Amino acid sequence: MASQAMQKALARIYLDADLREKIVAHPSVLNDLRLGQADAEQLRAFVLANRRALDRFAEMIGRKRALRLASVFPISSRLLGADTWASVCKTALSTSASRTIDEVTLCAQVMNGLDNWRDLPPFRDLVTLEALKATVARLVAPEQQMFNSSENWRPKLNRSARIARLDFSPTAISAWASAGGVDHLDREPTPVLLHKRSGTYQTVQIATLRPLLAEVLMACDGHRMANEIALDYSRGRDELASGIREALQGYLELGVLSFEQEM
Amino acid sequence: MKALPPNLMNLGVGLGFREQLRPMIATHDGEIDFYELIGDTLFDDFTLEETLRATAGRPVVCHFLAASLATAGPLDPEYLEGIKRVSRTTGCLWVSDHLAITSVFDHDIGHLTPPILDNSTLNMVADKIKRIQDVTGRIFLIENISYLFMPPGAEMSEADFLQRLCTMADCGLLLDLNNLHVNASNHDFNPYEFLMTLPLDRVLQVHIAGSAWSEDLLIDTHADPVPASVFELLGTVRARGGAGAVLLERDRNFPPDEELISELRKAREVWKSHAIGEHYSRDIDLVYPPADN
Ligand SMILES: [Fe+2]
Repeated sequence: MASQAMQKALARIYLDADLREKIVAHPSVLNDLRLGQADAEQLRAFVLANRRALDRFAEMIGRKRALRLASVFPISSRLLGADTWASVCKTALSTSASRTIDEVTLCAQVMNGLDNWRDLPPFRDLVTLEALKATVARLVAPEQQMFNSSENWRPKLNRSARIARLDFSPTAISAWASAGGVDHLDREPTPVLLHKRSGTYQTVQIATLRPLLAEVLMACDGHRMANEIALDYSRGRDELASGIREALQGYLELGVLSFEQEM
Repeated sequence: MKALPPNLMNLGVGLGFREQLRPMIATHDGEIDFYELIGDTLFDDFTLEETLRATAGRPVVCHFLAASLATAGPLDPEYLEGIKRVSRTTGCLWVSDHLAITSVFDHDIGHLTPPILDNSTLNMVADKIKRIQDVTGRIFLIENISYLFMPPGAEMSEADFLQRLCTMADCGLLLDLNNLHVNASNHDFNPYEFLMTLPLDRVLQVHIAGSAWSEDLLIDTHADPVPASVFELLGTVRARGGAGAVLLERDRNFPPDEELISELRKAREVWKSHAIGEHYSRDIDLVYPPADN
């Protein structure tokens, strides 16, 4: 029977080269996968018999992810050149292979600066600029449909969304770039929202966030109620509290947030 | 299978809509009988409207990539809602997705992977297809994928699985002839024997596409010309009552318009010359029983 544990184990094997190696060299790692004895043996035999095919498949997935990432950062990937871009993607893939991988995670790593990206400061700025371009006017909340119990829900940041922090303000970079990029550019830490609509193969959308909104979104952990969060961050100001509640609903519509509803 | 209006059994030769093909479509719409839209790209209203504008005047079918039908557990309700919404807004004739796993809980594999071909998977996928057919009011076509390996635990062959699935779910088949060609080549089996196991009258649609060698493996690239062997498979399926709709898939490495046109024409030639029974008509009367709301 195709158990959930077996499917999870297979998914990990497809994505994680280290795990494949370990299964071959140290079969005891199979104990960590929560499989029965028979399934574990079957799985090891499968890895042994398909080592090359599995490696080739992993390469294919890697290339596909790189293409998708390149579509988020078209200028940057072209400027960096195929080799550097490929190595950036490879690093991003290998650092995230054993955990949940999706484009949002990859972009978050890229935005937050992978080690080898840190050596390329102008590139970092460029990425930011591209993020800005991809963003403008993206995060306009759709027409507000009032959520029927707007206070009694517990917002939770979806797994298709992440908050990343940039070293520079995208707005400042935009001005800096249009002035020819000659002046000194001050660091100005800026939060951005990375988001992929659930169930789609579309690339990640990126939006700058006001620091307050970033804090509010980070407080959406599925435990606290929307109203509680709104009151907390508005610090007694009614208008701000209702703005926050509306924003949370907007993000719910966009699929950035999901919720645990109070019964 | 729920009776289809006869015109749907002979939809003709179509093209997979891709943004990059928009100019070609605007100029050569007369060569294309129907369009296949990637449902996953239509979850946002802007793209949906733009796509429908570009393909207006021709029938459309909707193809989805990420229902992950073979993943243990229920369908993602949000995704199902998306399928329902897209199928109704586009007025598509049918919907399709793959016999595959694309995500398992927190692991987004990001590519189609083969399912474990056992009885429990069979029952589960059949139930999910019935649910999609109920929700959309449309026939669902299940597509065969290309694979480099088969996971352990299979209790039947892929062809047997597909054949039984069609009966259990009362659905149709979207037979990807390029995937069949690629699998037969990589795993060394006879694609015609595979065809003979399938209920070819349920093959409402076929995909044709190109592949390329990467070392000793044939990869379905969707970025190369359609090989002769795929056209030969098309002739066989058509001559046995399947392939009422032939769809050319091209995702990358787009050639000059003339090249795609000549592939569409070649497909039409095979499609017409191998037809049995029904006569080919370009005046398609688009009648489809409306879905209940
Ligand atoms: Fe296909």
